[in-house]
Amino acid sequence: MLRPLRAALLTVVVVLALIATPRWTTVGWCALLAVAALPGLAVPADAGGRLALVSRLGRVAEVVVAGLAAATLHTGYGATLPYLIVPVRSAAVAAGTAEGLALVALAAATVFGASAATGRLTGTDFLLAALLWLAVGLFGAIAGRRMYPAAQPSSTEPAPYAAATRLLTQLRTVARQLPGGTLDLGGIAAGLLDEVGAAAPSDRAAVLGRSGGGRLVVLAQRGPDRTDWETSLSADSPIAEAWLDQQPHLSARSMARSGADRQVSALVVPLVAGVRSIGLLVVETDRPGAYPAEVVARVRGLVSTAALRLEAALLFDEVRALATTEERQRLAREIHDGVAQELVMVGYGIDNAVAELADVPGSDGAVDELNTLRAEVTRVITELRLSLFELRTDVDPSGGLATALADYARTVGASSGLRVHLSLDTSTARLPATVETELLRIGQEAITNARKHAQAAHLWVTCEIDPPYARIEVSDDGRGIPDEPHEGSYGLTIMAERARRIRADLVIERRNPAGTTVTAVLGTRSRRGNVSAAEGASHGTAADGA
Amino acid sequence: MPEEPTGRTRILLVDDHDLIRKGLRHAFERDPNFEVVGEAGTAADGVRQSAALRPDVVIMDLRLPDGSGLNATRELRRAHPTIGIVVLTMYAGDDQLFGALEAGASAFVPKSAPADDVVAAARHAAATPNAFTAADLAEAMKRRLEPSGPQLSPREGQVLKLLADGMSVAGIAKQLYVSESTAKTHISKLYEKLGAGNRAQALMTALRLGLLEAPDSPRF
Repeated sequence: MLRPLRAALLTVVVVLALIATPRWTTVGWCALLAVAALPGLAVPADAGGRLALVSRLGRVAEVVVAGLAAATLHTGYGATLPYLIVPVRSAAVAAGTAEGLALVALAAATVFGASAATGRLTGTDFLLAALLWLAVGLFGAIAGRRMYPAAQPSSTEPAPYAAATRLLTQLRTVARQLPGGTLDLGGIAAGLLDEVGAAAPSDRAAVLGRSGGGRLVVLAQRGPDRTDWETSLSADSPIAEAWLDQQPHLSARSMARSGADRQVSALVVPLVAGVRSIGLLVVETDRPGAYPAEVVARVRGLVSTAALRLEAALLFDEVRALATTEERQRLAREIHDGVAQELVMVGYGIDNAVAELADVPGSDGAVDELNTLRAEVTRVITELRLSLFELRTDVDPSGGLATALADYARTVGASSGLRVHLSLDTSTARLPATVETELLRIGQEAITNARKHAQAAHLWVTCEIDPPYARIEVSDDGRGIPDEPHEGSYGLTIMAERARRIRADLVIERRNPAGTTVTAVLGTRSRRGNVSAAEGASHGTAADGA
Repeated sequence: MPEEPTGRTRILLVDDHDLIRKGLRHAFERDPNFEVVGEAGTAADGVRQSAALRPDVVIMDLRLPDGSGLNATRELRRAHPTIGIVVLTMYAGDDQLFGALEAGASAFVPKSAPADDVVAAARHAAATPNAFTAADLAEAMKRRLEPSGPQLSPREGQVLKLLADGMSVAGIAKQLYVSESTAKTHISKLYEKLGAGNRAQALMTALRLGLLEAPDSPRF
């Protein structure tokens, strides 16, 4: 209840009491009531933590004092009882109807108890007045919060903005402190797996996050072997059920695609932020019945805090990606409509000048120079066209990283005379969108380096994607990166920063016999199905040799 | 052009940059076979002037202030089936090229090319407006035909063929001179790439993606 209103009601009650029974006792009780009212006047209604306790105690004191004073003063209109509405409404709004009702009961007990103790529970006037005011208090308590929003619709309107501003300010602070300027999705997911690993036994575990198109992406996983987790939300599985009903699910069937026939214990816990599912935690062990209720409860507790962190990272990534894409598009438009067109004009101008000079005797030298100039202008325009292409290339939601990178390499190869050799090895599972984008940009930068600086004839692009593992490698047979490249040239700094952002390892090395190799690796490849590993005798028995 | 008394190819330039239009106008006017009959700075104006002036060839920029030159190209092609349309673009990438082809353009020239290339393309467009030409067309076609979607390693391709032939895991292992567990790994990886849970699904997906020939298609 608003604090000025409290003060006004207190004043009215005190003045009326003093007028009705002008005695020193009245003054004493009024002073006591004023003291009891102090916490309510000093502490805002929506305070939390210790302050909430103070205002709660204040309300109890107000009720007790008002009840005792009413019983002692014994006036026909209820004396201090009208003030009862203040603590009761305040309790109902701040802490709920139950507490309001409790306070009314306390008031009734105090009033009638004190009156009976002093032997004055006889006058019909006093009884009626007391019952009337207690009834008013009762309605105030039952009304609870319902009266609240209707009471002040206009003053709450800027509140969302204030809240948004507060959150954005926090976000800015957080963003500035973060390494690489982002919240680390994979790191948070891996942290959760570590925590869960201590609480629940598991042979395999993974954190799956939401992604476009009704499927999940593996954000982090643990286990001796790589597991192909079920990532479809449309399938009829505990994963899809947990996602929908936001409840933990236990299953005796494995959540791995290939392990459905094995007897295991599998626990799927949804990560819920607010009302939305944002991901799933899956833990599995080969021992049946390994997850009793208390383990599930413990895991649930761990997951609920991690969900918020994960949601923050997802949102942050989304906002960042949105802003970046928009800026890239704007930059592309600006280059396209500005400097690029002007260069085209210059080019056509040179063509015309060459044509004019064609019939002029003795202008051969000038024509030669103009032709050289024209070749240069053409080169610069081509360069700009490729920059525009790079700026406008994004990972297609349906195509995936390998397709985008291959398209880019082919286009660049076509317009710069590089022979492009592609080696793509990708599964249908996808990486998180932000990771795909960063890897694409690293690949583009490496391809651009090969084209611009290396004077290479061949370009090899390798793309292996097996989420959460990914490796892209760009090699050329050019002259190699100089020993001490300029700070910021070759986009090395940017590539390194992009790699850091997604926790990928970036290696830039000389290629044998000539050229440069840029490799970005994400995660570790522990798949048994790796072709090279499988064909060597890296696992299994001696009979396994290929 | 045959119906023109001058016998010259009539050109309409559509580009939002004055100086580019001027540069191209000079290039065309140097050639006695051409005559620039109009200039437009927007797609709408380009379409309007095409209807009014009946040029033989329209030089169309892809990005115009009031919309895409591709839409204007489509509109022109619908209204004038025999008009020549040369699409000019700053953008690189095969999408633009195939976009121009599908919109019904006669030729596609990047803006980095010399003005003479534009003139040559206009000559082609006037003669054969419905035969598409572009410098990089053959290469682009080849690039487009390369597979997209899941990419199989050569070994996985072999395994897929053997699976399609109905061979058992043991048989595949024997055929490829690998152990049975290695063959299983290849198969499980293949299934995963194709998003399949069993052999039937894998084969259906592979057929759909063109990774396998349909059994009834002729084999040589």
